[in-house]
Amino acid sequence: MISEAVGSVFLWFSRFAIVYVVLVNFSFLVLMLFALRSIREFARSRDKERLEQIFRTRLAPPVSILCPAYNESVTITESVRSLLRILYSQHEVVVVNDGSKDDTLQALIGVFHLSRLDQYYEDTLPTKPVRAVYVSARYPKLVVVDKENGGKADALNAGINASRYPLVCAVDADAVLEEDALLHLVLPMMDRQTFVPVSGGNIRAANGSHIVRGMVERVRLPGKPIVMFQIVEYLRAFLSGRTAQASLNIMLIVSGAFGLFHKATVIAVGGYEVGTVGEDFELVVRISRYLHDRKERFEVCFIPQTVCWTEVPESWATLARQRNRWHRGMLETLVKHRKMAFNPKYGRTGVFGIGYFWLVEAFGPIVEVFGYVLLPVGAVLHLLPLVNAVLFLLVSIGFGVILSLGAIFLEEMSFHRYTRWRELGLLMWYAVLENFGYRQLGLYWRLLGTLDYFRKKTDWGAQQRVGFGTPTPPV
Amino acid sequence: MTAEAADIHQLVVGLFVVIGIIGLEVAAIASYKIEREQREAIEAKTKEAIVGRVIEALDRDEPLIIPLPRGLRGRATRETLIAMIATIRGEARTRLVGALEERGYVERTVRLLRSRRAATRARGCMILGGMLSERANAPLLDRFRNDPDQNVRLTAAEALAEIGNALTSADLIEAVKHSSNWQRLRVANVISRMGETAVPALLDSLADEDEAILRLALDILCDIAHVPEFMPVLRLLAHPSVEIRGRAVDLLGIAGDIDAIDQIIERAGDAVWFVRVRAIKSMERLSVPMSDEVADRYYARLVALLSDEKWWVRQRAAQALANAGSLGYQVLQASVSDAAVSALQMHDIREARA
Amino acid sequence: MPDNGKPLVLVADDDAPTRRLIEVTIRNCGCDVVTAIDGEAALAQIRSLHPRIAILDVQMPRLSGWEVAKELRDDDAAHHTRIIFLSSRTQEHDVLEGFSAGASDYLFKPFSPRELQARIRSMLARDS
Repeated sequence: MISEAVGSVFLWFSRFAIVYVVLVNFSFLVLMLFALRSIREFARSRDKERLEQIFRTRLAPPVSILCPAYNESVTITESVRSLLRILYSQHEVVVVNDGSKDDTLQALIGVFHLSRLDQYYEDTLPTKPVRAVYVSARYPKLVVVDKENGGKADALNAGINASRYPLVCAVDADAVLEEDALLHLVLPMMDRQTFVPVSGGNIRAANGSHIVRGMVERVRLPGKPIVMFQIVEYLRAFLSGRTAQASLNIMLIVSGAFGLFHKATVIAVGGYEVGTVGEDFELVVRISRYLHDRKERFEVCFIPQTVCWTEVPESWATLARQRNRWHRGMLETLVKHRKMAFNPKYGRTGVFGIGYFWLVEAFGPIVEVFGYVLLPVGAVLHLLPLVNAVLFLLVSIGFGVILSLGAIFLEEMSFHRYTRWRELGLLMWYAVLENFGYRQLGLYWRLLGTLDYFRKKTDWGAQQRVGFGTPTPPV
Repeated sequence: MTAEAADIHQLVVGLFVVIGIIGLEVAAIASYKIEREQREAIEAKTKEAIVGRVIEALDRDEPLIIPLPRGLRGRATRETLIAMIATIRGEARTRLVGALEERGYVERTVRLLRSRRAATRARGCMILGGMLSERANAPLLDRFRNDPDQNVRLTAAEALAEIGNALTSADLIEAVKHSSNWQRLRVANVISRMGETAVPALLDSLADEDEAILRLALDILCDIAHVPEFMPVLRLLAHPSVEIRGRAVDLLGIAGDIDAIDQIIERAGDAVWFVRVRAIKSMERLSVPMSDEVADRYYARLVALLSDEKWWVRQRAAQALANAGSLGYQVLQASVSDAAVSALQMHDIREARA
Repeated sequence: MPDNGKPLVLVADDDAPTRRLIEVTIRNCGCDVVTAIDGEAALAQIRSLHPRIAILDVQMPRLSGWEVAKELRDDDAAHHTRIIFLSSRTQEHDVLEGFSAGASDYLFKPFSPRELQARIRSMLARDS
């Protein structure tokens, strides 16, 4: 009797799992088709010089770039230099030293000839105490805020307090922006008929590329499989996923590594939330909620041709911790704003945006990990037909390969940053390979993240810094 | 066949379908890349050849012979010549434009203006703007006045400005009703380049009721920085919209003269804080030379603003005092305002550098 | 200085057609020309060849024209090389920044080849 009951549980679960992966992957496919349609227009990149010429005038909105830094002494001066060099008519760079224990601040003071001010601005948003503010006569665009440690969200809020301009661009301290990145990112804020409170850029893995003085000189693929997997994954997530979401106006994540915000709106919703691990996602959701509540029309944009190069983890342990953290952050935000889920009052964002996150991102790892484990086991123990297990694997893995290769196609069709045949071959190979272990590993990490969430972990984990310009041997 | 065998059969079919799709994808990616590489190779070769040929012909004063405007070679030739036209002026440029006209490039591009797709028409306008041929004036003007798509109209206007056929600024201002900020920025750029000839029409449009037009006109005047008659601007200092008041006060600071300073000092008491900030900025711009009476009012206002409710206003006022010479400096040192300290420090830092 | 007595001029611009146009223009006024495709190559050549004049595009990969000029300012050996900036930017503050970086002259794109030749000739005449 018991074995019959167990058998039927397995059977029904297997059917559910199969239907689930079919629907989810099919929706990804549909999203990819939307991405295909919009990416072609982005690929016809606007003439950089003409853009620059127009942005030269005082009529372009000035931007404050916020750069929170914690223990970044290895890379901080190079990053700041590249930010100061960015092509834009009027911008400032606000670096926030979040109580670093190493000599991040000293490095900045030395290289940029900073002088100390005792008071510079007022606390619009509450933050941990600010120790001092530093400015430089030689580099008038640079402001450095030195404060007690409070986490990235707190540092960003301090940056917002210190910023002068109406638009703020949050950039990770170890990220390298291409010089015309800001021009492209600001354009939709000016060009749409609706209000654009948030605009996000594309993130690419810099590992293996040659970066000199804050500019990407040679884009190369690294030899390490772990990085290759992430590169393919980022292509899938950004080029395919976000382009599509933005075109349908359901985009919700603007990466913390690189995003442009309308400052007044951010202040109106209370700034970044301190204490959450997914502060970038949480802020965008909160802004969406706020604007929906006020019945104001808006659009969140994603600009795939603006690129931010960042270093992705090269060790499995660091990567696992990162994905665990991302997942916990996502769950925190979803739970906090659960009122929005499937709620038509929140428009497409609530129904399709948040709804997607619940159904696919939150629920997915549970269903799929159980699917990968239970179904083969069940088939071996004759608790369910072998066919079901095989069908599940076929759909998961097969469809996965199709989607991964689709992302490579999108990349090739639009920006083709990796120009050599060997690199394209490598990308395609890893697009196939990632579905035979890497994706499953990612799902497993996310499942652990779910468990950890329920156990209420809130730490960030440490990410070992490798430093820029020291690439792993290229292919 | 048992049910299970049928299932397995379906699975195998499914597997082959998946493999088939994967194969198609790989083939599509590869063929895309091959096609693109071939295209780029032809373009690069053509460009290299054209550049060599053109420079030689210009150098030796020989006639310029370029390929016909067909296919990839035609497009590569056109792009190369447009890039060179953008780099040089004078006789050499005239010859390059002439070559494009003779070989039919201009005509062919004008045909693009008749396309049904707006994006194609806009692209055609942009290319014509790069070719700098006066033969494009009439078709571009036609697009500017009659095209249903706003982006096409603006691109035509930009192209006409490049070629040097100035549309009146009144025309352009009319064209930006109901535009996005970006489109207004583009028009502003075009009008700005006209310089002082555009000023009369801009001053006229300061009487318009449409706030977007007022903003545009004020922004452009700030860029051109020349206002012979600033009565219309003074009137706008009392406009109900914050954006307009702010820009009007900016403009007076940039292009006005000392006679306007009293009105600006008054504006420094505006209800909205960033108008106050901009007024202080303009006060600073106009502050030299000042009669004693005016100086009294000037300092009095700045000192009053040191206790403003808004931090950025206090800070800006302190900065203005710090930059106002020894008197302002002393006033700051004596002040208890929180903004005074940092303004004094910043001033010292900047002076130390000089 | 090369043996044939012709003054040496360096042209640095990452855009090939522009570089070649300028090269031909200058050759036609009786100078020898060497070229560089980025700032670092330009700096190296100025330091080793000591051209009389260096025409630098403001925006180049690796080192911008401005950065090259700043590096040369501290370099005694390269004192004699005069710098002309070539740029498509026309804002006043860009020009002023160029001069404060050590430029002797400034030329805007689009430039007139005849005007460039005139400036080169007058610069060479001034120095000899």
